[in-house]
Amino acid sequence: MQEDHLTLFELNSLIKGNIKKAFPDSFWVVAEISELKINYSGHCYLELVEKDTENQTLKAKARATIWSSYFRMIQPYFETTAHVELTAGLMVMVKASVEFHELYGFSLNITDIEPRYTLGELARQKQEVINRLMQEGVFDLNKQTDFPRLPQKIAVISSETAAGYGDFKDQLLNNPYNYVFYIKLFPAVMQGEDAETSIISAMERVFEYESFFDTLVIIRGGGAQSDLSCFNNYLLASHIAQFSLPVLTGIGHEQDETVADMVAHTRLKTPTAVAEFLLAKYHEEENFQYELSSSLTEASLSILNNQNNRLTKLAYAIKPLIQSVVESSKKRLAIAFVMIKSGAQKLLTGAHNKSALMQIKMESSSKHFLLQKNHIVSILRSKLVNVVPVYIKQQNHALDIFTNRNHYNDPQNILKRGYSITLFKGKPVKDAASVKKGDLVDTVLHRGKIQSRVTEIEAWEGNTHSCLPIKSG
Amino acid sequence: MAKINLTYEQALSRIEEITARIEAGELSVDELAKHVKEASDLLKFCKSKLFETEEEIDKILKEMDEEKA
Repeated sequence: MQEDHLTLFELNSLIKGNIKKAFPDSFWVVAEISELKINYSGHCYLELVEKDTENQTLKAKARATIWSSYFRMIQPYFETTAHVELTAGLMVMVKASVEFHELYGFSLNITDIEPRYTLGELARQKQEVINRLMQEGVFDLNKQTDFPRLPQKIAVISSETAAGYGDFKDQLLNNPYNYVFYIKLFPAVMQGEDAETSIISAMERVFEYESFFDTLVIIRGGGAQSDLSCFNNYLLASHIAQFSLPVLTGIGHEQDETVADMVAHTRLKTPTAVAEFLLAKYHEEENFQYELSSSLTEASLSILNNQNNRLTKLAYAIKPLIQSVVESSKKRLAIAFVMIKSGAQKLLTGAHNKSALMQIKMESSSKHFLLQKNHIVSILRSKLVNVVPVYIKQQNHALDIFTNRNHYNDPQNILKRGYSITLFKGKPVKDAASVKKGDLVDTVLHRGKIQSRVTEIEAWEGNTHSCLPIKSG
Repeated sequence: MAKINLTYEQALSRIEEITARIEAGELSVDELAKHVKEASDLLKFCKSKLFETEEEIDKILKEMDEEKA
């Protein structure tokens, strides 16, 4: 059995003394906060770690404490400067002294934190996320989705109880313009460690109705500035960037954009701003519809006006043509009328005159005729009275003379005087030319008849010779 | 108004198309009335999208709530 031995307390006291000797001063140490707890008395207990940059495995670990007297000053200063809640996951630069306590062992006693380191580290991390999204080619994907002209059906990811969501919903559903919106909430935890996975799972639920909704709105009302760290996380940003619906963010912060904001289709600062954006879209559409309506009306009216002008012009052009046609037709009609009238009148008067004339003529001529005839008859009668006896006397006288003359004219008396009649075929021959040589002619004498043949003909012109020598055959 | 089976944006582009054709003087007076009627029906349809609640959409939203519950 060894005589020389120490109690544990003695050992720990020894270690404590040596550590104090070896690390008399404070150090600025860089580490990641892996755990952070604040107890009832305001002391802050942390666990600091360092991970391997390659495979993220732990390389070092240490407990740390910020006594409440320090923590009361450090925490607000850090959070206002770094714009981030002092919480697990942050890279911090702390001023720490090495402590060793007999009972509690090794720990670091933090007396200060440099917020600018965290700020820079966050910016670096953020930049890394951005770079990664860009390298993967997804950074601009959501910006390339078509934002609908009329975002009617809105999926909202928010915390149901958040004031921001209530205001948003009220602003849209009770808007003064009576625009109609359809809002569907997909609740999620919007801050703290669980926020990222909660938001992503809500996005997955929205995705099931992807074809129904016009847009996804991610809003977070109020809350601490420092709660935003999850919106810079790669996984959430990557989901937003690649979401099939255009994403509007209204995460409620005035400072730097988060990566989620950067990859969203449109980043608005607050839920109210998102609601205004959506209302503005409706305004634009209402105006656009009004403009369309007026340009349609204008275009139609101008066509109608043109046609109207054309018609008016045509009417102007046609009017004189029609007038002249009408005028000339009228004239022709008038002339025809006059002509017909006068013609008819002429015809009528002509006929009338003719008939009158004829009547007169007929009357007069018949009267005249009658008179004439009467006159003639009376003359004739008187004449007859006078003439008939004279005529009878005359006739008697003529008759006497004729009887006497007949005496001389009687052929027997002439024949008696030596004349004869030559007959050819029973007809008296008065011209030598009427017989030919060889014809048989009969000669009638006072007493008897001789037949002879013509042997010679001597025709005379005229009838100057009273003697006709005939040689009997 | 006849049932319009177009999306809001399809309806708008149809109105724009008609307006452009009218402005370009492509339509005769006889065709004009027909097209203006179509465009104004579409305008009414578009306006209704801004101001009138569609029961069908409300129904779908309700169904979503029921699925979740």
